[in-house]
Amino acid sequence: MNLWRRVASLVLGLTAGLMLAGCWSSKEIDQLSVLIGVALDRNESKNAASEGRLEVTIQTLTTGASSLNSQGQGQTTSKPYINMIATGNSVYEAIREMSLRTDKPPIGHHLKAIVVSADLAKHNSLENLLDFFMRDNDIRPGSLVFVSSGQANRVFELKRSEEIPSFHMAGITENRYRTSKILPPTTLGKIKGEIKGGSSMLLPNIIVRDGKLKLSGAGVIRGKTKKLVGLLSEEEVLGVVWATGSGKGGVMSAVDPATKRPLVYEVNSMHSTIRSFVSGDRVSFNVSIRSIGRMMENWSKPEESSNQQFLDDQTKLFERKILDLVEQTIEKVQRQYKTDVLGFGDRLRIEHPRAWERLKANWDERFAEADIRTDVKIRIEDYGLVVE
Amino acid sequence: MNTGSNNQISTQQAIVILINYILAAGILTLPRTSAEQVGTPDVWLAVLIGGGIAIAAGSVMARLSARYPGQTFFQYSSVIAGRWIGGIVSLAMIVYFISISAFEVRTMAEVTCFFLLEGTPNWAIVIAFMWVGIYLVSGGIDPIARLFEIILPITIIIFAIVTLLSMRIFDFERLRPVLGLGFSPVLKGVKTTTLAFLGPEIMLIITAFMKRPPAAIKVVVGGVSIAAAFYLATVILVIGGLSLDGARASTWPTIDLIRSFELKGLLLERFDSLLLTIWIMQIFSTFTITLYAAAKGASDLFKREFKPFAYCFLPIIFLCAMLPKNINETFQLGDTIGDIALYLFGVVPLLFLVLSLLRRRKKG
Repeated sequence: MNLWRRVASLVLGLTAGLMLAGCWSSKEIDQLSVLIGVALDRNESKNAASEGRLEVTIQTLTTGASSLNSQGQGQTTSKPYINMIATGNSVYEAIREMSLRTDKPPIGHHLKAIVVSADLAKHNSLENLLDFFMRDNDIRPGSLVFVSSGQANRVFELKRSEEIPSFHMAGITENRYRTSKILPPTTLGKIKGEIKGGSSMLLPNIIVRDGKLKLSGAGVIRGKTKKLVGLLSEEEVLGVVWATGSGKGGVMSAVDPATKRPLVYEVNSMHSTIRSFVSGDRVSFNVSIRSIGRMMENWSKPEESSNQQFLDDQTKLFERKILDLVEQTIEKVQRQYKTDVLGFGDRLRIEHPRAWERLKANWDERFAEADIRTDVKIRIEDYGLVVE
Repeated sequence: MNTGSNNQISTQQAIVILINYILAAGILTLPRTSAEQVGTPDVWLAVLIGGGIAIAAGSVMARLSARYPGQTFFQYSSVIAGRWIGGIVSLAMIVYFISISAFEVRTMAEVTCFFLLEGTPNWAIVIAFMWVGIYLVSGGIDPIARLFEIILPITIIIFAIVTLLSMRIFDFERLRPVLGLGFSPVLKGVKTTTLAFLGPEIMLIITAFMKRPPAAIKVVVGGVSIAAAFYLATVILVIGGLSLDGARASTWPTIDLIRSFELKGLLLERFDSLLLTIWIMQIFSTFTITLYAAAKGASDLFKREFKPFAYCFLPIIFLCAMLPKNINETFQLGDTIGDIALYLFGVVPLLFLVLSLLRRRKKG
């Protein structure tokens, strides 16, 4: 009896041990390819073999072992990544089509960048294009979304082969403390809310220049159609950052009208307050921008750098410059694109919720007619390590 | 030393049981379900009101149970309302506990399969989960209480860390305006948020084991308030982090929130598995306490031993958990259970309490 019990418990214990040995559906990491970037383009080839509207390019990391194996695929040398292109009518379909060509299933946990070509975004709703990425269980809401005014998959091919484009792209967006020409990160999670809520938004525009990546301006996405309506230049993105006070640092240069020589103001902090006013169906906004910083380069009158009168004059110069920039930017999104990407509607929702309920159905038209006044005040606090 | 025969719990243990029971599937879904109903960022107000209602209903149940020290509802219900009515109500409650147990198991399986163990069959996850559960339940209320005392601090610490980290993407403006469209949107969400506080009904049973039954109302107030703090933090952080529209568009908004940011340079970059860990522990505690309640109810009602019932209910719970064909049906099952609970624990205990007070007066 006692012996039986012992044998039974031993067998049971061993069986339980078997269950602990590993995961039910585990896959070894060197048998997977890590998906880090996806580019979506319009399929323009008339080739019968490449059917479908979309041309999907995926970028995966290669491990040491896999780059040896991939010589059979004709991949050249030491690049740490592989790009693969497939076509299809939907994103997921195209990605899965690649399983016919590689033995390593891609995993989405580390997807960093999704690049949509402007051409594609002009004709297709972003809600459809990004649907797969928003639904998938591996892909994280922290992945960044870009548009590209050129061909999207070109940003996945850089001249320097040791650099990984998807990581590089994500890295550039972290430079917001150095330049104000970068928008706050547009993550998949944030975009999900904006798409579902029907708000307009800006997506950073990534392009290739001289074989290198460059963040250049932004694409304007209209909330109602969720399609791209146009692009903003780098200067206009700078205007957006000032208007919304979202910058973390950067510089602003101006030309002294007296000497025709440049002066540079370095931003320590910027802040913007948008206030909304409603009378009937007319809405108006006040944008007040405040900033503190220092004079960091003075080509105009080096000998007067620390003179308070000079600094006061230059303060006005920079204020004028910022004001012009912001007004031009607002003018452009208001009159040309008729799309509220600066969050004016959100201010109205917060400050006049009932008016917003009434106006939100045709908000883009209302916004285009809105009266927007801007004022700018900056303070130059110091002038670095040189005193005259 | 405590032995297995110790069947008394302290007031503090009762509070812990109540909190662990309340916190369950709602942590992951409440921001969405309530945002859908309310439609303005005032969701947190609806959570507060829901908590208040739960305290009121729970106090009625606690008061009722405290009148019959040492007895569970299933024992004293026949004294109050007669054998037939008491029996039918008790039976309904047993069915309720079984179905909520099944619902929790199913939700756990859905989330685990989707986020953690893709490819492992549902039944494999569920069966392992349930076996561990029955192991705990067969020991009675005392081991349950002691395990819950371990689970709760872990839950609080990890929840605090994870949610505080999400302050990185928190934007206070997303919670504004407060009451911009008046109070009526808030009222629309009250039912949903009240149902997130399902749990005080356990007072109908555990009051019988309390060393000091009169403290039962204190247990309800304390337990529901602490659970409300959890829910409040969840709803505020999710809406502040993802925006109202983002919360509305996510199947599991709280997981989405935690997945939305990464920390570089720390030991861990990603925190969703931590959140899922404490969440599974909470589901486990809700599953075990409802299984215990169902089996205890049946054993008191039919005056038979406790353990056979616990083992018998296990396959029934498993089958019920496998019943919903898809995720919509799963959510629907949750809604139906909530609707039933509203009557079973909102109205019935009040009637019983009134009846009980009247009987007492007659005697006097």
